Formats: sequence, structure tokens, C-alpha cells
Amino acid sequence: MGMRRLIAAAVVLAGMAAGVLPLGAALAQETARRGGIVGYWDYSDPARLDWMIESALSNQQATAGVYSGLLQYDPDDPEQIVPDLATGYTADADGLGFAFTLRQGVKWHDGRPFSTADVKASFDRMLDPKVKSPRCGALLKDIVAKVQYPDDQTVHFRLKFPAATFLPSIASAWCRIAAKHVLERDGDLQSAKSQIGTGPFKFKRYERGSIIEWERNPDYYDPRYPLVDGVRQYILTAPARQMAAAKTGQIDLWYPYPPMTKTQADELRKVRGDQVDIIEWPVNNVWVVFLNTTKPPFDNVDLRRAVHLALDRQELFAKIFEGVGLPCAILDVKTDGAFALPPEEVNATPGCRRPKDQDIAEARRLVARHYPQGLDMDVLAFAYSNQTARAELVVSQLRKANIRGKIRSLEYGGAYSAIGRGDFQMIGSLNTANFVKDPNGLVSQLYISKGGRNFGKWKSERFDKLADAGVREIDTAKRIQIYYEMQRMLLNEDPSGVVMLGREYGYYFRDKRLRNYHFAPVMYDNLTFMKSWLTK
Amino acid sequence: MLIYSARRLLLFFPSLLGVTIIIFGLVRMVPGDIAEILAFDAGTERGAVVDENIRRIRAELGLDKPITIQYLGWIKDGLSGNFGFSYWEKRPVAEIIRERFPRSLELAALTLVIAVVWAVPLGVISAVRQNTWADYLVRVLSISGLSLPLFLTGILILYVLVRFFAWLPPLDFRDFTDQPLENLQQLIWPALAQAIYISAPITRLTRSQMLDVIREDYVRTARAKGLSERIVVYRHAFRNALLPVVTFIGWWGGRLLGGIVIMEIIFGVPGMGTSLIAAVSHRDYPTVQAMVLLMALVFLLLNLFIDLLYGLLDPRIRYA
Repeated sequence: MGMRRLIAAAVVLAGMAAGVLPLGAALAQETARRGGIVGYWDYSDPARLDWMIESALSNQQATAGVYSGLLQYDPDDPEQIVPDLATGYTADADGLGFAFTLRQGVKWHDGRPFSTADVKASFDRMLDPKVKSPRCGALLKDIVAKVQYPDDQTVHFRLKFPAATFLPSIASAWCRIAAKHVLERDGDLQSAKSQIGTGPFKFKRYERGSIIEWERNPDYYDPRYPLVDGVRQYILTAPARQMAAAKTGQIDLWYPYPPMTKTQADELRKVRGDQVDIIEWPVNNVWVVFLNTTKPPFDNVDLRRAVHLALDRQELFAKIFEGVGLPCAILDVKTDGAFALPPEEVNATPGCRRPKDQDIAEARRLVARHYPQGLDMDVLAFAYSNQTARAELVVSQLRKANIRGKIRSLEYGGAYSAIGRGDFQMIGSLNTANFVKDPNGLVSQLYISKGGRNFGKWKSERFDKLADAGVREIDTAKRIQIYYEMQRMLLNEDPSGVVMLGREYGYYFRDKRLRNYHFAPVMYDNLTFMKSWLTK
Repeated sequence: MLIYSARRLLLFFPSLLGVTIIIFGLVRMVPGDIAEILAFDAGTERGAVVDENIRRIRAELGLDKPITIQYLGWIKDGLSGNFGFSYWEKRPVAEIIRERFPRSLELAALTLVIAVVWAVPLGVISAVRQNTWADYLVRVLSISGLSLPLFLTGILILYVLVRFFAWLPPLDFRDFTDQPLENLQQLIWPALAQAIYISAPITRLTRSQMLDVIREDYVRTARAKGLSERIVVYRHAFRNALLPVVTFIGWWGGRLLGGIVIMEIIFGVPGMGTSLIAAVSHRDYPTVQAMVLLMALVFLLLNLFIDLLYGLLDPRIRYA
């Protein structure tokens, strides 16, 4: 984004904040109704509620509507960044700083006034090198040089370098603002009593294993919102119970994880097709195989490449996801826009193209070069969800390339422990979610040498430099080319310690009585229900 | 009787001590600890995946101390009612147990009530009408109950409720003390599913015990005295056949406390089973230890109670 576009965006944001520009299109077409309770569900209990130092989706689901950030993704159009606790921002002339003007008159849910001190306390904590902040901290620590508070209405971020990822990070659901007095009182935000925000909803109650409930914040800074009286999230861990709740109309929304399978969506369509809108939507999740690049055999690029070539992603997606999803894609046109390589290019690369014969022959040749009798290896599989079944499919495909895997299935704790110790050669199947609307989100987690989920510890100086350039480049056209180069490198040269199987898609539903709720490109970014309403 | 009871009580404490050692040792024998899980599970911050983090977490949680010191500390704290702090949920374990235990207890009790009310009479009918259609029907029913996997019974109940009644119990779990009616609506179905499963062996045991007893001399004598069949069956045979059945029901009672996990998951009951599974998965030692100890304690107490009851019911039972 060039400097002129940044300033233009700032003007637009300021205009929207002042109420000069129109609200969502849905509100213009249909009169929003106040009242009612939205019901949806959460796949698990959030173990702890402190979103500053946690990373689970369940954590974000539990707290999203309670807090506000400086910016947010627009609930009317989750592709766009709009103001929240900041009424707007201006960029420094050198592109190395952003000044945010804070909204006045905002109150915390306990009635205390919101101020710059709260913003300072929040960013001081998330940017503290001693505090592990796996989302916001991970996004900002490498970028932000210092945060200054020149007056009681302004927050000024000075960056280490011009960074295209800065604004998406600030608008991310993980970079919200907590109350200084709560952090001082409780030390963290882990418990329900610490959930004091400035968001559209107050945290009402949390019965572990059963329900998380928000109620309308009558003192929300924008008196037009929220429109519903509350939100109830039921903790439903069993797929059978989730589906049963959907079929009997106990929930208004199926989002965000896990999605329905095609079969489940068809079942629901038969029962409540006239009452719900069912859509196919990206899960913003990649399905991958990890290779440990610190020891044989996958410290050798030939063997990594052999695995990449041998795997038939189309068949894997057909068997596991009933053909839904984007086999082989690293970035997704739908969520990453122009940064994603065109699907026709991806699907023509060796390893991704069909038929597979040529690639399998090449994979066999690469294996034979180093292991003439074929390669025997250990394959770690997670014994939860259907990860072991997925790993078995991967292993069965690799046999065609003379790679013989033996599955070692471990439950959650044991598997993460083995990963941590580097006690694996291959992880047969795992998913990773992108948590920010920027291509760097996935790249920085999975591929760079310091990436938190670079479990295979792959290290490529060239790739690290490209990734760094991708963060620093603010010209979108040039940035797109950098991400193209990264994807081409992974697809055509070295697949890294992460062999990409593809992007997961699934089915979601929204009850027709729930209006103005839009599925977001990043699953964390539209969970506030601020502008949603119910017809009855 | 007094000596028997005293001896039995004295055996209780070494058993409990043994249980604490086994629990403490077993959870630590499983590969991986909470420090590794906390460090790697959410390790998306750059550079966070380092051994230093694991060492720090272990030190914070006291996991770097010798195992005997950890054990003695746990016993000492446990004796003063302090079960520790959950590593995963970051709150006192006592709070978790206070929240979850009554629900599991209620579900177990409801399951037992349904199972006993149904299974024992069926077992008696099956025995007194041996080799009639009623006996065959009961035997088919009990074999079916045993053969159906528990999760399938649960899912079938859900299916029937949705398909034929378009109804499900409320999703928001309510405690009995808060909303008794809603609570029963929520618990009756998992209890029923579990009861179908455990009623089968109870029926079969009752039947076989009854068949043994009604062939005894004293039953023949009772019949010879001209007593009605009802009095012979219920006053003479049934009471004597009941002893092993009571033992079996007591054993199930203890087992049910932690064993209804599948039902808790399928029907969304936030009981102790689901919490324990999560704690094991996350290597949350204080929670696992406290919950397993509590279950073991209930089990031991039930056994103690049954043993004492035996002594009371059957004076021939005495320790040598």
C-alpha cells in the first residue's frame, strides 16, 4: 500500500468514524430489529481466557465481543479495516510511524473511563519480551520499535521499518485493548471476573463445559449497537450433538470450526433447507505434513522433494474432505487475494499436477538415489480428531514412491511432547490456522526459521530473506511478486519442513433469522456480533 | 463383628496410600509434561520454541524437584484439603471438583436407579419363568444391551429425539439445585443410555443367582410349607440371591463416576469424566491426581461399605 493510499484510507476511516459515510448495506435495505439472543457453539472450552497470552480459537470466541481494539475488521464487510477505539490514524511522512487518535467518552464495562493508560498497559504487556504473546506479540514485536503517548488522546507507534503487516495486525482480533486497572488488580485476564472490556457485549457468565454468555453493553460507545440482547455460546464437543443442535434449531450459526462436511451439510439441507443458508467457505486452515529437517532422511532436500512429488493431494482431499477444498494451495485466492499464486499455475507444478505417474517415477528415482532398498521411517500421528486416519492415507500414498512409513500414534500431550523434543521424522497430518489477514501470517508461523510452528526446523537463508522482504515491502504489486517467489520456491525447489497438502474448506450455515452476519476471511476476525440482528 | 469391622477399616488406609503412590507414579510415566505442551501447543511466537521456556515453566510448576519431594508435598497439601492448582485451567483443583463432582455423582446415581429398577425385576422374571417366551425376551434384551457399543446407544437416543420428536434437551446445562426440571431433562438421556448398557449384566446376574437359589433346599421347604409363590420368590429366594447383585451394583457405582465420559461428551454434560480426559491429555497432574484419587476413594469407601454390609447380612462372613 503506497503512502497516498494509506492517507486516503485514514481519511475514509475518520469519515466513517464520524458517521458521515453510510453504514452496512444490509441495514440500508432492511430495518434492523433490536432484541433476541444469538446462539452458536464452541468446539471446546477455552482453558484460559487471557487472549493476550493464549492462542486458541475457543479463547477468541469466548471474548471477542467483550473487547475493542484500536481498529477492527468491519462486521459489515470483514475484508475492510475500520475504526474502533481509535477514530482514525495518520501515517508519518516516512512511513515509519502511525498516530492513532483515541475515541473520547468510552467507558469500561465496570463504568471506569477508557484512556491512553489502558492502551499503554495493553501494548506494554503484549510487546514485553518476557511475556509470551503468541498472537499479537508475535505479529508486532519484530515490527514495533516503540509506542509513545504524546497526549491523552493519541497513541503513536514507531516502527523499525515500514511494514505492510502493521495495520492488519493492529486490526486483528488478537490486538485488542484491556483495562489497566484490571491487569493491575488481577495480574492477567485468565478468569471470568477479569473480562471487563469496552466492547459491545459484557461478559455475563461462563459455566465450564456448558455455556459462555454475553449480554448487551448499554453503554457501548456507539449507541446504535449492539442490536441483539446477548450471545450464547454452547460448548459442544461431540459432532453428533453439534449436528443435532443444528437440526433442531438450537443454534443460529455454525461457525467457525470445525466446519460441516458435505454429507452433514446435505443432511441439514434436507431437514432445515428452507430455514438456513448453507455456504461453502474457506476454513483458513492449511493441512500439512511436517518433515524433521534436522536429521535423516529429511535433512536431505531430495527426500523432502520425493515426499512432495509422491503425494496425490486431489485424492487426499477427495477421501478426507469429500472433494471440498484447495489441494496443494499454500495461499488461497479467497482469503489471501492477489498474494496467492493462481490455482492454474499451482495445479501445473510437479507434485500437484495430474496424472501422477511422472511425479511418482521421479519420487522413486530420488528415493533410490539415497536409499536403494527404499526408505523406512517413523511417522508421528496425532490420536485425535481423524488425524491418524489422515496420516494413514498419506503413508499409503508414499508407498508408491518406495517410502514405507510406520505410524506411531500419540495422543495430544505425548505428540506435542515428541514434537518439542524433535522426536519424529515425519508428522503424518496436522492443521495450522492463519490468524491474521495477511499472507505473512502463515509464512511466519510455518516456514521462516524462527517460526513457532516450523516444527521441522527448516532453515533457508534465501526464504528468510524473502519473508523479511515480504513484511517490509509496502508496495502491494512488489509484495505480491515476493510472495509468488516464496510459493514457487516451495512448490518447485524445496518444499521445506512443511509439505503442503492444501487449504481446507467446509460448509457453514446461518439461520435465516440471523441478519447481517458475514463470514470472515480470517475466522477470528468477525466474532463480535456487534452489527448482527435477529428477525424474530 | 467389631473385630471384623476394625480389621476391614485398618485395611482401608494402606489401600488408600497405595492408590496415591500408583496415581502419582502413573501420571508421570506417560511421556510428555505440561511444560512441553504449554511451550509447543501455542508456540506461534517467534523463538518461543526453546528449551529455556520449558525449563522456566517446569520451575514455576515445581516439576523440576525430585519426584519424592513432589509426592510428599502433594500428600501434605492433600491432607490439609489443598489439591493444588490446575496447570491448564489456572484455578484451584478443588474448585473444578466442586463444580464437576456433584454432576457426575448425580448422573451415576440416576443411571444406577434406572438400571436397577429395570434390570433386577427383569432378572427375577427371567429366572422364575425360565425357558418361557418371557425368559427368552429378557435374554435377547440383555444380550442386545451388552452388544451395543455405549456411544452408539447414545447417538441412537439423540437420533430418535431429533428424528421423531424434533426436540433436544436444553443446551445450557443446569444444576439440579438451580433448575431441577431442566436438569432432569438433560441427565435422563445419558443416564438411560448408560443404564441400557449396565442393566444387561445386572439382569443376567440376577437371573443366574435366582436360578441357583430357587433350587436350594430351603426354597423347596418353603414351597412345601404351602407358602404362596410370591412369598417364596420375594421373601426367601430373592433376598438371598441379592447379595452378589448388590456387590456388582456397588462396583458399578464406583466405576460410573469416571466412566461416563462418552455420555458426558455426547450429551454435553460438564461432569468429571470430560474434565479428567482433558486433564490427562494436557498432563495437568494436580487435576488428574485429585480426580483419580477422589474416584479411588469413592470406590474404596463403597467396597468398605459393602464388606461391612456383608458382615452384617451374613454372619458366616468373617476374617479368619
